[in-house]
Amino acid sequence: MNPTAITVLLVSSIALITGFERVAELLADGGWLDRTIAVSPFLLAVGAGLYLYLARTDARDKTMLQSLFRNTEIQWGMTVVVGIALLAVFAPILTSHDPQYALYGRLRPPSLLHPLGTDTSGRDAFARLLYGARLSLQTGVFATFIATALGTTVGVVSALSGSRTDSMLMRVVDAGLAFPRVFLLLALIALLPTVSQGLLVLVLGLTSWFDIARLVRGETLSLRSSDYVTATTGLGLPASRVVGSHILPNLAGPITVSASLSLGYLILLESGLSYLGVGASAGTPSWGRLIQEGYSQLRNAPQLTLIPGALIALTVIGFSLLGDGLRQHLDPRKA
Amino acid sequence: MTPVLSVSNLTTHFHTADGVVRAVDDVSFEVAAGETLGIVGESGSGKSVTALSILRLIEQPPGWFGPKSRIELDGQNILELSSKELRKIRGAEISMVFQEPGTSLNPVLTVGYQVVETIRAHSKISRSEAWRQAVQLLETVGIPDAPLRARDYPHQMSGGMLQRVMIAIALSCKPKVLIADEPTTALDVTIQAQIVDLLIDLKKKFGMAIVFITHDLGVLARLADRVAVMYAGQIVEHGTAAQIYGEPGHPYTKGLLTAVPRVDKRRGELAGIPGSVPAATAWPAGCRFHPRCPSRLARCDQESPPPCVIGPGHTADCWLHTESNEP
Repeated sequence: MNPTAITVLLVSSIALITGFERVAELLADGGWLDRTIAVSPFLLAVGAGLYLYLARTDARDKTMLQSLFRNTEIQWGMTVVVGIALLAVFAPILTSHDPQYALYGRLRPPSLLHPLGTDTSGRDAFARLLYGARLSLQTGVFATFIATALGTTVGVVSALSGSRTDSMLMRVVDAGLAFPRVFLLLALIALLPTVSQGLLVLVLGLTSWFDIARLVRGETLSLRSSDYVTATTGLGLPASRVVGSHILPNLAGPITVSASLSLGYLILLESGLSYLGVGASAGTPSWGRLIQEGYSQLRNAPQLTLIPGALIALTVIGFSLLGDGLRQHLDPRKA
Repeated sequence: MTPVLSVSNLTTHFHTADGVVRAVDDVSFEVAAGETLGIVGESGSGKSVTALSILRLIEQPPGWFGPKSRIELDGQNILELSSKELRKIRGAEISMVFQEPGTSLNPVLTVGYQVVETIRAHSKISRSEAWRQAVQLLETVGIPDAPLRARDYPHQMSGGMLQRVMIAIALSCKPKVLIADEPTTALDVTIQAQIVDLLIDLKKKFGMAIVFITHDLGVLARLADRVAVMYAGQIVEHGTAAQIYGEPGHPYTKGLLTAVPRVDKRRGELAGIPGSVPAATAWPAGCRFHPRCPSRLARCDQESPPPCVIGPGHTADCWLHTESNEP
């Protein structure tokens, strides 16, 4: 049995059952995005159910996907990550409240109307938690994307260019790794009154590519001196083909591992920054900001802080498990 | 016969932190179409660097070619080509089979794709047409169920099969010259024989010249028309296969031949050549073989011997032959 598929089935079904009216509402008068989201639990539940049904009758590991899921760490990491991603995607179905709407009573205790109560400004805490997941995950994913793309490019270019460019780029990487990133980001708030999410993603991405660049450079150097790269060069393949079809595919493994590990770390960093007041503007929910806002009411309303905190921890653990599992799975020396 | 490939005064040095490695020093040879030249020598004698130099696969720096070095393919000096011209020649007119089939193929791509890729690098044909040609080539090199096996990844094939794939890739554009750098060394003896048979067969079919590099005189005997014996970065003896095996002129060649185990002769112990190839940063003065030579003369550690003609088309660089046969 595949826990990820079960999670998908479960979360989608819960979303459908609890949010049935919302689905109808969204389908009736939402935009195309809302409608897509409204339909997605149906499709995902059916897909996951079908997968579970088919996998039940066929026990052999036939597909690559199934052999990937034989690794327990990947299995559970994926489960956590997919579960949290679904919470974020289904946010409009799972709650009908607007995370910004601040006209309920302040600090109401959990109830059926407000599953986690309301926060210090009278906003629905559950809605803020779900929409906060969107922001945190988005920031993490896009920043990781920028960091990975940039790191891979710099790493490959550095390894393949002459010793001069190589050592120059690597000194930049050294400097980047030596520079305390949190201070740079704090300096940024000091300079700017508000930091938009886009800018935050950009800054996080632009300050996180250094270790990926170093990793990719090392891998590329060893690939470049491998027999098959010499062989393909000797067979007259243009350099672009040698890089595109012989070096990059062989880099996919280490890059995937490093990206999934850094995703967890970037989500943590984003939360830390929101907590410190950088990042999403005051009203926008983000997990770090939820903790900061609820912090003063830790005694009266612990759910305001503890649940976002637990979700941050869970997400980071999920991505770490996934990255670690992928590393094991992709290691050619494994038994 | 006019040679397709003619290498003259090839000198390849490497400038390293430990000094200048003189891997190949003033090596000259020629190969005509349909001819097989065997280059034989111990490890460290410069065979592989010679092979890599011909395709200019030596990185510069640290690699360095002597100013008099010429590698002519149909009269075109490879050492003077631009990188674009070089790329057109590599794989299309002159191709190479490497020693380790297991590591010379990319593990993440199917073997068929890797053949297709080489074909398409040199001719503008459609993907499906290239695939058809690739399957045909794999059939030619003796891969059973070629249409099916073309979709295999390298790890799904045995070493012998992989070497066949490498040969298919090397021959995919019908090159004029095939350089085989110890293509049988990493294989079992029975598979070695199959690969040698395959090369003999393919030479008849494609008519290319082969430069076959090996340390195994036994393998060479079945394949080579002419043999060049390399020692310490130089060719010390050069002649037809019959001359080299029948009347070896250089003490080093004699040593190599007595070191080959033979089933047809009973012998107590297998003779070897004492010592090993010296470091390429400091070749011995005079004749480079003199410290290990059983028949060394007084002048051997002073002056290096000139090539001496000891038969038609048969030369040996050794003082033993100078008195009677100085050219």
